[in-house]
Amino acid sequence: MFAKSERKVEENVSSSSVSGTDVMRFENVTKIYKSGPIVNYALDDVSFSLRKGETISIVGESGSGKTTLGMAAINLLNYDRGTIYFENMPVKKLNRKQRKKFRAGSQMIFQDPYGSLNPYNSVYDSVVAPLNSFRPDLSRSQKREEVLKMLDKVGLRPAESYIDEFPKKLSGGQRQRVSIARALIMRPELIIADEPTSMLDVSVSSTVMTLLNHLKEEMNFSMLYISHELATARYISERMAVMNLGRIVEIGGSDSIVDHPLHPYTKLLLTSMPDVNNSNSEEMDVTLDFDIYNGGIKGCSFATMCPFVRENCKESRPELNKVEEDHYVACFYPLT
Amino acid sequence: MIGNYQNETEIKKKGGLVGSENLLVSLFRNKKSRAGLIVFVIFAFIGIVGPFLAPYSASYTGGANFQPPTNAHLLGTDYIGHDVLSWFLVGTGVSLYVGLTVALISVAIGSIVGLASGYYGGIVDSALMRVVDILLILPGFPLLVILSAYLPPTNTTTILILAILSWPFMSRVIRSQVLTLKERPFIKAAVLSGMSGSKIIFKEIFKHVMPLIAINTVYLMVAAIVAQAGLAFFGLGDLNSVNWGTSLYWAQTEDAVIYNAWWWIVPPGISIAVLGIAANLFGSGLTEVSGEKAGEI
Amino acid sequence: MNDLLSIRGLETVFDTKRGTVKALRSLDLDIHKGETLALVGESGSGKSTLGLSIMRLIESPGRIAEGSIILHATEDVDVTSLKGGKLRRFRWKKVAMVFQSAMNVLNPVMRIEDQFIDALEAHDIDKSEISGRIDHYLKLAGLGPKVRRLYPHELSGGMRQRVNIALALSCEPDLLIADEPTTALDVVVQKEILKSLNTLKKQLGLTIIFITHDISVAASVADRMAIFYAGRIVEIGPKEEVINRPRHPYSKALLSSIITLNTKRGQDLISLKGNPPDLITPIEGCSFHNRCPSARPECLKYKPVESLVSSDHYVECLYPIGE
Repeated sequence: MFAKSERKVEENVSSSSVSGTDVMRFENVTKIYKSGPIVNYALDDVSFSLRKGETISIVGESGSGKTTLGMAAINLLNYDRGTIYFENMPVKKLNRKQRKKFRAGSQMIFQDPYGSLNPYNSVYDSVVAPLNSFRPDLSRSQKREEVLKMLDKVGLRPAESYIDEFPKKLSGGQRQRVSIARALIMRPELIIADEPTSMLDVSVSSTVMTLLNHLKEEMNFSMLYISHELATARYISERMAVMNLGRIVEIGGSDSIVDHPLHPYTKLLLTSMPDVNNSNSEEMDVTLDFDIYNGGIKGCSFATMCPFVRENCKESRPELNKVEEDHYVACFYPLT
Repeated sequence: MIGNYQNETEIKKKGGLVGSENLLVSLFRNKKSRAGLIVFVIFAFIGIVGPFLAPYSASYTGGANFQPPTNAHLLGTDYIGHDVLSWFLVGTGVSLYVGLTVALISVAIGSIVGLASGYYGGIVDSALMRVVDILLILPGFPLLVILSAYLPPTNTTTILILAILSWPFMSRVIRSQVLTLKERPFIKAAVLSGMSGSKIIFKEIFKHVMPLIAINTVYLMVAAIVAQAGLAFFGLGDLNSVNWGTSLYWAQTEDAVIYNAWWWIVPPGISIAVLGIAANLFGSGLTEVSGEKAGEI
Repeated sequence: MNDLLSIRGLETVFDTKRGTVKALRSLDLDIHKGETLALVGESGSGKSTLGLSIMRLIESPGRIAEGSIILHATEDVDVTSLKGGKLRRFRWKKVAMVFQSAMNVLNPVMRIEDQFIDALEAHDIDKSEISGRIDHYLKLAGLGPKVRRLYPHELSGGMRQRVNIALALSCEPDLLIADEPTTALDVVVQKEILKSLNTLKKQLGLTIIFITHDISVAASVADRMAIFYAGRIVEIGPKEEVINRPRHPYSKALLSSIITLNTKRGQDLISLKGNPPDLITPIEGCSFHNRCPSARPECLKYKPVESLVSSDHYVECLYPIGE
């Protein structure tokens, strides 16, 4: 349907590496927040691509820009520079029809199960909303049928007993399932999941993670999974991007990153994780300094804290470099 | 901390409270809003059938002056022999009509402006809010007095003046509510569901501000009745109209207090007070009920 | 006397429109002097309610309906019967608490220093001693004297939580209750806070009750660990025992539902079906029987009692794992 416009776009950006199988691609996306003298780059020249059918995790601490990245990806946020492509079309330049396809084809699962459902709307109202907008051809009973099917899919069974329920009556885990049903009902190509389990109890969170995994395989969508936590990120995603102060400092296969991190910051995150078996004996000697705004940083964003810092780290910015197959790091002196 | 979860079995047993019970029923279950509603219904009843129940016409002046309550004149008579009861029965309807009309006009304008301004933001917001600011900084009552003095003294004039002066406040209240609602994730989810701005306002936001609108309608109605009484008290507006305000005006100018004619002052005075209390009761009852419905209390 | 606090038959309830919620159901617990005891459980399990009950911070509609909390000091005191000045001295002097939301505890319009002075003066600390104490405890919590002149908003989340810890310790309590103190913080800062809590414990001979939903965090600070479920402790024992040889099916499920760096990608995680019981209706039999993978008919009929399974390791289950 979009063959024509697609080709046109491809010609325009032929200089950059265009792969026909990318669902989403960020190119030098920058988002700046200014408040008085403080300039903060929530996203600082971020580039990466999400391939069809894969899940990529964006991992970082609070203030790393990972949530901003998700908002930009779903086009709920304006950015200052750069381009985001959805199936090789720049999102900002979509025409009406394409925009509709983008909206229907990219959905989000939110962090807060208590805030993401309107308390005055029933489960049916919440889940059916995308169908109302994008599938006006469906009759009322067809829509209800679709919603029932979707509720069953996300494990709210029997669906009949949940469909007319209001959020008040549902537990956090059940609400999150409703959110997932709403996000998936249009069978989107892209799902952005912003810490979907961080507000749930451990045992509930594991069921939601398992569910996401199954749905991913069954419905074959691509996912941008945003998390502050490396273990769940590794569990759900094949690739991983580590963010620090608005920049991607390391990107690559999840196993490769977890097993042998190349960036000192990634290593710091890994060694700081609490571990049930206390097997994590390795320690990194860092000077903690979190009150940094990256507006004025010339060099590496981690330079002030890095135990391995050298002169040029403060002077010039390291770019993402390929160190091994599918593993890139933005560090002059990557760990070995 | 406790009770964040509900048993699944329980869900099936109880069914959706929010869905099955309509708002009016819940309002009637709550003691406060029930009391308020009952008072409203009584006044509405008086307002509608009052003129037919009145033993004398409002223009009847056959009674003795300043006569205390008797069998012939249950609430006595005033300075030129009007029957006070008849004046009250006829005046209630007029007062309520003025109050309700003012409330409905200002709520309609205020809600639309507040919703649009809060949701769309940007230029729409700036433009609308400058208008609101100008209207809000004008000193209300003096302006009311001046306008009433220059415009033809009819009830319609009073209604229009009061409505123009009260909607800006209403729009501010609604706007601030919408601004906080807009940040909640479910609005973002609605945007992602492809809903248009107006759809989001009416399907997602309106239900949240509805209690606020209802409460303010009631408050504005009472405030307008008081304001009309206040204007009349100063001899402004249509003094030939029979309502609570003009009753009090004539009682004041014709020295009801000096003649100890309490029966003349009490009915409209008490009515205004009772209506005010009823509005407050209804308001707090509605807040409780709607909070319970959304599970937010 | 090896115990600092003995809790017997504690029932903390909340009166709601639907009925009385028994947040703690006849809870017994001894807290040893000088240990870090982690209370682990999911939301609604009662772990935070216990912390608040010990601090006597349960407010209406909640109340302590039954039981005792005995503090073994020079003489034994029942905390549940303390009132007025005695209760005030008990809080902070004997027991202090650190909460999750660090920002809400500190007064935003007061310098850090003044918040210390307020707290210390309220507890009759000699004026000449105050300044020295502030420096001392800030230093212990890993903060420099520079912090004294700052306002809360000028500090990062991690620093604020350190100030809170320093503030809580400045009245030199015997027991520190930390309710999810690191939940709102990033891992790197969390690790630092946990480290300084450990150091403080050693230096001051503190007893710490550490409340958390995160079993991994509990594992990195605790000496003993208590697993909460539906208002009771279902398993309690030395950390290594509970983690490596959990005897209660719930503890086991909780442990195996955690995703670690070693969890195989895409594998199905072990998960619990159903929800915890409603704490309004009396619970018959074992509170976990409806979700338990190894439940037997007897579990519905008989209430399990606490039994010793190995040294200092107790479990409340009719058929503990491994027997």
